[in-house]
Amino acid sequence: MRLFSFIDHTKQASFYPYTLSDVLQIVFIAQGARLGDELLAANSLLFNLMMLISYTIDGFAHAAEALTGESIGRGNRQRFYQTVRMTGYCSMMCSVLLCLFIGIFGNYLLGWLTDIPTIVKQSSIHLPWLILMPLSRRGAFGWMVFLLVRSEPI
Amino acid sequence: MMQNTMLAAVVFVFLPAWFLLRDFQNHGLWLAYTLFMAARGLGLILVYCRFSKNHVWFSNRHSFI
Repeated sequence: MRLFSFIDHTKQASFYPYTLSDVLQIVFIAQGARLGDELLAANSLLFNLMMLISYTIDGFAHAAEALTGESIGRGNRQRFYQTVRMTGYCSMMCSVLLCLFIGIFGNYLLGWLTDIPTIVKQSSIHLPWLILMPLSRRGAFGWMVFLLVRSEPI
Repeated sequence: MMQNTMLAAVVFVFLPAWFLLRDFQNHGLWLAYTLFMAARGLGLILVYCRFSKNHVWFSNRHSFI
């Protein structure tokens, strides 16, 4: 029974949110496709860059997951809150650096990803949204973790 | 809790923002997505603060997720 309750907890804590976020990405791409082929291509290029962002920031999320889980298992409050604070700071700094990186090198990166000038142009019009993305995303992934950790029956 | 904040962000932020910003084409889509991410983060921060205040993290209750 303990195993089944664990599956229930995991499903509620991670399965539905991640599935919803995937569905939302598909909706996003479908809506972009309705606006034309060029925008679809531009959006998929920008999504490639967004994968880079989420890969970087998820690293801190996974670190926080493991470390907060460990400190809850040990019953160490001080370490728990310290971990939350430190991963928060680290991911904040990292997301600011990512903002700068994409702001400065974003156009070069898009140039590496494709050599069709019109699509590069379309993508660079929408690049400012991608510069905002690490900051808004950090909030999501940096904090999502702490709920995930606690959801496991310990 | 995580699925609740996620659902709230989708239903109350992403869908209305996307619906209202249809005229802005792709920019509206991106703005809606950014707002959605921010709303999810904010919701989870609020939940975290409430749980910390109520000392939920180290209690033995498992009813919340």
